[in-house]
Amino acid sequence: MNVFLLVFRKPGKAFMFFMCFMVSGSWGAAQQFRVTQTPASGTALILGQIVDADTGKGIAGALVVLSLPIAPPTPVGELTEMRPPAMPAPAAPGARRVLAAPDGRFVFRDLPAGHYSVSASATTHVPGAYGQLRVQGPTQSLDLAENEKLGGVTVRLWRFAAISGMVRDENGEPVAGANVECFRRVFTGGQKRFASLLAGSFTDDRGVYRMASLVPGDYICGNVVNPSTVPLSVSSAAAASDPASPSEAMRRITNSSGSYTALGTLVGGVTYSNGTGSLRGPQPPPPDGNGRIMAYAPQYVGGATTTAQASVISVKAGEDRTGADLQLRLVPTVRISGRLNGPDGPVGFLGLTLVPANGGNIVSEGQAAYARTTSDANGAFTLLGIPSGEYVLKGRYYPRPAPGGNPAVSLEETTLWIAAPITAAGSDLTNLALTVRAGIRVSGRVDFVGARQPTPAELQRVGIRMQMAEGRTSSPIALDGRTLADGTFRTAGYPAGKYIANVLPNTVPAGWFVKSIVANGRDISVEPVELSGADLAGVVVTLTDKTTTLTGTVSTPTGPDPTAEVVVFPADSMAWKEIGVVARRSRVERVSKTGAFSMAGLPPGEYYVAAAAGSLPGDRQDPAWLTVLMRTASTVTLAEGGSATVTLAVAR
Amino acid sequence: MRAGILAVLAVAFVAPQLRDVQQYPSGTSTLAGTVVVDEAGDQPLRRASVSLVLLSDVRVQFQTVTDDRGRFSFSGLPAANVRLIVSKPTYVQTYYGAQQPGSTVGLPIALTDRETTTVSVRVPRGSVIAGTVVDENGQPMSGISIQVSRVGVSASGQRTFAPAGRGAVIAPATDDRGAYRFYGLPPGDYVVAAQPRTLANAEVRQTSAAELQWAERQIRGGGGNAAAADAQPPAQNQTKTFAPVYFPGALNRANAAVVSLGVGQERTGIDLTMAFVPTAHLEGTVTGADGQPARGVQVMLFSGDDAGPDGAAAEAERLAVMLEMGLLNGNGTASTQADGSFSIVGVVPGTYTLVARTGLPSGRGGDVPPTAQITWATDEIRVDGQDIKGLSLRLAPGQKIGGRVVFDGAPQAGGALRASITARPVTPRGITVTSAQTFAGAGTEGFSIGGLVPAPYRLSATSPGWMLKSAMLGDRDVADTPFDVKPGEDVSGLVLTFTNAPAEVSGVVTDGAGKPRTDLLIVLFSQNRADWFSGSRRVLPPVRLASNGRFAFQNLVAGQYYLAALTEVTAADLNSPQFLEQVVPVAIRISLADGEKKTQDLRVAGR
Repeated sequence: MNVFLLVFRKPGKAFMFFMCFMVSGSWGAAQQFRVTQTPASGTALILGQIVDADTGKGIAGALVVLSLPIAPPTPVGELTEMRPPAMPAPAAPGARRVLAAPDGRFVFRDLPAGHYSVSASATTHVPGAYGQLRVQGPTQSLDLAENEKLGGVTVRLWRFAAISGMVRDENGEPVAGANVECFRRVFTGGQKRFASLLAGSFTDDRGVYRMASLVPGDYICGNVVNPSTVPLSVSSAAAASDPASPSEAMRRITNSSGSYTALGTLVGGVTYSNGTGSLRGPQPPPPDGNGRIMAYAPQYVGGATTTAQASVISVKAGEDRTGADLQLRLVPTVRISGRLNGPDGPVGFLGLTLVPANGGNIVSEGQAAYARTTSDANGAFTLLGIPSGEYVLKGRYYPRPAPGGNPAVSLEETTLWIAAPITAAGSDLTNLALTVRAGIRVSGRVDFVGARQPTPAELQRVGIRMQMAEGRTSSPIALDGRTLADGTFRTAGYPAGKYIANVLPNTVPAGWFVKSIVANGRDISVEPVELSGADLAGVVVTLTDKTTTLTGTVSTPTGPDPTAEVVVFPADSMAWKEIGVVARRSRVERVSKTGAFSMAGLPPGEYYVAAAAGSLPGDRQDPAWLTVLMRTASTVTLAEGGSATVTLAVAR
Repeated sequence: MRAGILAVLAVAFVAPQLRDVQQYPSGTSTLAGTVVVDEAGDQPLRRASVSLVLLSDVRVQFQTVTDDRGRFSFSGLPAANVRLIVSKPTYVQTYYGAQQPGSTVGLPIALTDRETTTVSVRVPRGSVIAGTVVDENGQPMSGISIQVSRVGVSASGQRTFAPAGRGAVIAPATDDRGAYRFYGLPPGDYVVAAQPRTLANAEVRQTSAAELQWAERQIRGGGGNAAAADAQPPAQNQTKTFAPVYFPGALNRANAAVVSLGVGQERTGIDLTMAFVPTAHLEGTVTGADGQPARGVQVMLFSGDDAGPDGAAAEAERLAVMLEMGLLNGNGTASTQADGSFSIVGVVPGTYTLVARTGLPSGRGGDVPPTAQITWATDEIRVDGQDIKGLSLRLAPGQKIGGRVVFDGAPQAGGALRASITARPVTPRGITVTSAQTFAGAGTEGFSIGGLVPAPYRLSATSPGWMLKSAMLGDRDVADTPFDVKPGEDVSGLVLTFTNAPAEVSGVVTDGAGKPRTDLLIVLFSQNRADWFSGSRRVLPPVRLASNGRFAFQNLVAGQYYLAALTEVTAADLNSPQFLEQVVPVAIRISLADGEKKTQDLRVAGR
């Protein structure tokens, strides 16, 4: 029950949490610790210090975690940066933790030889790890020899930044209980976007909000408004449903992220809630005698009402940005209503969200969504309190066997989706007739090309997922296909759009690599495929036991350059965009202390390999950065199972 | 997560809605009113949320917002009795007709068809508690949870604590400057606690200066002979963790200072310093009554300050905090190994009772049949940051209690009476033991219950057609007042008296026009505040009025009672002495003698 409510009342957050989960649990499998034993005791030791990156001063009482021998981390995408910064990665079982001394220094002793990583956190600083030269940059592991006494292990942490301001209503009065969120700039799908990674801040009794514990970076901040309209028939149907054995209506509502609690003002046959934080947030005036509603429009710092126009606030480590004030505006609104028709007639109890048409710069569709409702039993829907603007009405029915359990869709059932553009221009829109369509399935087979064949268990673990090529995330419910014993697979139905195909990393058997995912002669794991209308069949997923290897060194005129990072990206700049959240063909890694690097598992193809100063900001999905790096990059071609070696220097 | 909490509340109040949209209540009544700030000037309260709840079905809610002149109006309402609640952030959530700010006991409003009922609500400004949390070095600590609890006084004169945060208050954590601000509080007495999140699940060691110097020498020596000579590393620091701290710096709530707030008052400077406390590891062994190592025995650690009627609740809370902090193994217990050994890590300083128990059907709590072979062992220990090894617990059989049963009244024809006698501990250290025994019913007979782990207990007993009148141990009635079961000492001489002529009180509730009311709940509770504890025989669960306005309380013990009619009350509310205290002013007093059948009609003001 709670889970659903979270989804419905605050979908953005729920989606975001899922995304983080997805990163650590599935896409980011390469980042997982693989520790199976407590360490044998040894005689090696590590002596180091946790310091503030800007001042070099030790951080008293930082918590230092030594993770036991791990596979070298392989960055899988910028999403790894999107874990909420206040939440350090869970320590592997058996990891050692110490508090640093008052000068920030620490000792780990009695260690056996091995690869280690040292990470640290403090309430004042962004959690970080050894090797980072910029906040949340790539890390290095420590190679410790038998009986080695390793000193000088410095871990830099960057101070959190803060953005604060005051929220006033249209009369200039401070507003208590308004929810302000800050979205951080990230790059996904080769485009600049924003993602909300922290819970919002509610204004206090003086109207003051403070978004603290921000990772230094670029932000847009605004007052979050999510009005919701719920037909009484929907809340009644939901209430009549036995939680232990949900009714079909409730199953449809929960499987489509529909709103169903009747908390709000009764207007006709629906309850309307202005979505500014329920009773705790700013309340617009009551509807007038004709049911006309004045509503608080979303408001972003800089006087903007959309994320696309919001001013970007850049904060450095330790910066305390004040005066990011918001002035709420009451705007006239319209009613949007109509009827949903699907493949089998009216589509009842379908959750709907109204997403601003220019909200594409928000990574999570759930966070970009503005208003919500649920269609009634007859497929009729109503949205109240909608300011004029361009929108897309979205809805998805992803049936799960048991709502609330495994977020995997039932592959037997038909999924439904709708994405209807809607323009609200000053007057009510009624009697809209909108079409809900069946999802588009992707099917094919999985081939293993190698010296051995996989075991049936290995084969049947392989999971296939389509991710939105534009680099946005939508539903927490996975539509993944699973491979059957005969090597075939079939996903659930996706909404129309451009996608990149992936094999879920933790479903690839050990020792195997994804060579290609081919549909109609094109590798859809590296270039997008358009799903529209008919199902996409005949997709061939090829796994190989031959990996590519890219090695090299970065040096300066006088010797190795241990401060560099190596950036690998496709030589074809067309492949920098529409590559989804997880870009298979790009990597950023820190070189070792001898300036060396080694990467395995890149898909065959032509690449740029460039060295960048590790301390400078960069994002491997930022085309502007890649354009700069391209000028000094080496070109390498990796054949299937092939290797290449390059020698690089950082452009000064 | 805030949204989640809000949503859960929404479910509790709203989701179990109507079965069908056609049934959504409507009518021709109108309720209109004004909301003003409760201070000189009667300033209108604009944009306040006004919620209206049908008393006949509290799942039905209506909502609106006051306009810029503080006015609101609901139309098309059914003719019904309703409750009205006004909320606005920074103001005290106010129930219409509440006697005290923040009270959830209000007055119902009667709506009539085709008529407009007008009300006025005065809403007090909320108060503010604000401060800063720093660490031992004076550095601000962010992300610390702040708990503000309202202080009340229980019957026995002990302080009680209810978390503030109902209504408009948003439970905050400290920001990056360590600052927190709790607003919208009703006037009253509060204690403020800071709960750590950092290290919330573990103890940790701090790197010592000696270790650093030793490591430096090791590195300079390069692992060669010089280093080998210094190979013996220095001892490590004691493990430690953050403990919850109460303003102004107390480590337990008993020593917390009370912050008193008037109406609309702002108290800043309620600052707290989070301090590390050393944690200890406890190790020991459990042996059976036969002297052999006892395997798989549950070993539990209870805080020492668990005496008194509120001890159980305080202890449960303390245990919950410890569990939350990971200071107790797993589910709060350790289990002994094959050699009888156990270990518990991360124990913060304090006085504890270590308890080992066997023979429990499963885990803690629940009834234990008298046939269970319960053995137990306890040890009182004081933990002050040093590890304690060599703890030794030897299991012993549980204690017995016994005495006589008296059936006070005409013996039933045909004889055998079955009674179920329960000894219920008032601290979590003990175990509830229930014994069902059969009696001939005539005269007096003996009874006995075994397997009690030493702790304070209360007795209760049931028998079909009979009621426990008293359970005397000497001159004390242990059905109401706990008695101690001490190690190695059985308790005898208990006299349980049953009666088949219990007292009763019943009546009819009518409105001013003499019409029966059906929308109220009737509560009956003792005038003696010593009887205000959870499970008391003299605090009855609320009863709903029947359609003819009738109520009845049966199987009552003699005593002096309060009787009151309320618009809203739950069984849980009656566990709260503060709640009962709020009801006292609107209650009437009645006296019940043994076996008395009293009629007490009530008339409620209003239509």
